Amino acid sequence: MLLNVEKALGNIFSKLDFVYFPLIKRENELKKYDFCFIEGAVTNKEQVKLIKHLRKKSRFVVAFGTCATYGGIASIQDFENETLAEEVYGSKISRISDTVQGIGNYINVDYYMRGCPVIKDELLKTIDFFEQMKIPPDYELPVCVECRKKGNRCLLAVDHLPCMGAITYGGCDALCTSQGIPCQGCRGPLPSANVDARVKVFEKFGMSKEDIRRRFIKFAGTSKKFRRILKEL
Amino acid sequence: MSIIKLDHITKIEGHANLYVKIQNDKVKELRLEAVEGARYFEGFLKGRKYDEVHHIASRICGVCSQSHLLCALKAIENALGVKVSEQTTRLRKLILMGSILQSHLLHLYFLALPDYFGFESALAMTKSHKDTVLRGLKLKKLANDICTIIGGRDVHCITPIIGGFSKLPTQKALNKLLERLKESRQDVIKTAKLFISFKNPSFARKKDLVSLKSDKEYALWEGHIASIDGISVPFSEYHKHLQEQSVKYSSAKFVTLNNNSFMVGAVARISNNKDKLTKSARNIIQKNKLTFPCDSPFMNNVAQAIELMHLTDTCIALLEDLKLVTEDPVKYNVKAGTGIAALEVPRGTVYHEYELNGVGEVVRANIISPTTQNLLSIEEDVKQFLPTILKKHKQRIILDLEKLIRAYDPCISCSAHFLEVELDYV
Repeated sequence: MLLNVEKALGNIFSKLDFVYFPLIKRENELKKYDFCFIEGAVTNKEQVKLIKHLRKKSRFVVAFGTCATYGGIASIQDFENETLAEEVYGSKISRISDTVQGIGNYINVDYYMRGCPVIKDELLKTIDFFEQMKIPPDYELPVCVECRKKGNRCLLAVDHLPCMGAITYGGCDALCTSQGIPCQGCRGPLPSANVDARVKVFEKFGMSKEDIRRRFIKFAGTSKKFRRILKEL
Repeated sequence: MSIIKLDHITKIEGHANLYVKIQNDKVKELRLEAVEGARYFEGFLKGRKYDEVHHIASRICGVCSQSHLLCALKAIENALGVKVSEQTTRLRKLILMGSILQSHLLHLYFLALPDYFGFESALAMTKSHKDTVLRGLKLKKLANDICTIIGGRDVHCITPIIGGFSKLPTQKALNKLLERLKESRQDVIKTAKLFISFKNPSFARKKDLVSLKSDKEYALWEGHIASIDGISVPFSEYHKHLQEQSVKYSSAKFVTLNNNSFMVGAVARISNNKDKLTKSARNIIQKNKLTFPCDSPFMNNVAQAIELMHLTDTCIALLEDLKLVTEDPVKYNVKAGTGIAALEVPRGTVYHEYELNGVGEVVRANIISPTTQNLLSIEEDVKQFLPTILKKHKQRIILDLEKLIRAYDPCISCSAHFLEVELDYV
């Protein structure tokens, strides 16, 4: 995603010195970092070891994206049964992934940059903060606020679509809902989210328990808020 | 004995290792290991609903999200018997081509180019080759904007849904895109010239080259499975010809075609379909006396550059006579059924197959991504290429091996179901 902010890229590369970035660099140093952006979910013990090492060597650690924050889409498998590995790979292979978790389960995280994908503006703002050796403040307004500001028709109230906008971290400028797609909750649940009320609304729409479970087990099923409700459902 | 070990091969998407054991100047053992976390997409897609499959499949990979999104959508529509409008097909083709441009440009300018210029990364090139890097960025921005304007976002498109689009672009935005595409042609020609000018090792290995093929057009959106060795079968029969095998050392599966290794991607597409390329792309081939079919894996970079020309001019043609009409997505009923789709995407052919039950839940999913189809061919290329360079210095050998592997543009997150190189001299 970083490579997709083409216009600002020159500026970013002149401000920051990238020392470890195997996707685009051949020579990667594992030494000390001011900022460490960790992308992807943690799925095995080696990765836990690696991120613990990175934590020790870094001043600030950022969970980059929803996979690093919650485990993301691949965390759906955490809610499936044990036979999954065998089904996909056959019995020949030993199971490589144990659980799919965000990095915050194992190390202290200074900033969560949520979203699947992350939002370019947030990335640029975060880099500005870092330049001043500061961590950006948490933004705790739901997608709903941004969506209403844009004057969109409410997909939940008017169209009775299972929109997650009211309980999901905003900051995405309501990108999906503004284009007619109900919020999928890719930025995860706000601390203040009233998840029980959401379940009731979905039930009123006639959604089955399974339909509702699927809504929560998607990007952030591993979050505390969603784990609790999933136990009850 | 000597061991060459490339741990975490860089400048490819995802994480992979190459382990090679060499005894008396002979390769004793060689393994290409994909070590990215196993991801079980096909497993956890089971039980999900028909209308969220494309959102989930898109997340298989950030680099070619559109490939999986569009292929999933097409397969689900086939399962439900949904026929989309010509306008929808045209707009989706534009997203597909935009996404191939995105991926090719990322690979050519940021992953492959530093090897040729002798830099460790594109970042290190920004001072001495500023104009080239800026050209790459400008072209990539345009490719991203094709996806953003039509699909609602450059990665993980939003607006494509079953039956059509949740929101259509504006004619004004499309007109602007058309202008920019026309302006970009000179930069595309420069890119092709640049990659053709690079000297590659003379290595080539005979193998079958497989892609979709169509009588109508340069097959990307539709076609049958074709190969230079004469395979010609409907895409819906892919499972009869492609065999998936799990290997102990890799979380990616290896795929064989009628039990042989084969190559997919830009080289295979041009080898099978060169007469369907745009005139501008054919001119590049003729003027530079390039030959296709082509057995050199290194030529995949050149083939991608030629495709940039083809894709740019095809996008221009698709946009030139597009008069956007307001239309709603096609209405459909949820029903049981099986749907298969195949698309040509940046790294080769991708297949998605879904079986739905009566309430639209996925009961079976099968996804074959391009890199899994190339893994065996990469391994066999390395096996044959390595003895020809064994006299070189170890660091040089590793760089040449990396170049070879990178030319395939492997996307390990797609196929993992992961790259590092290990050379072991005994």
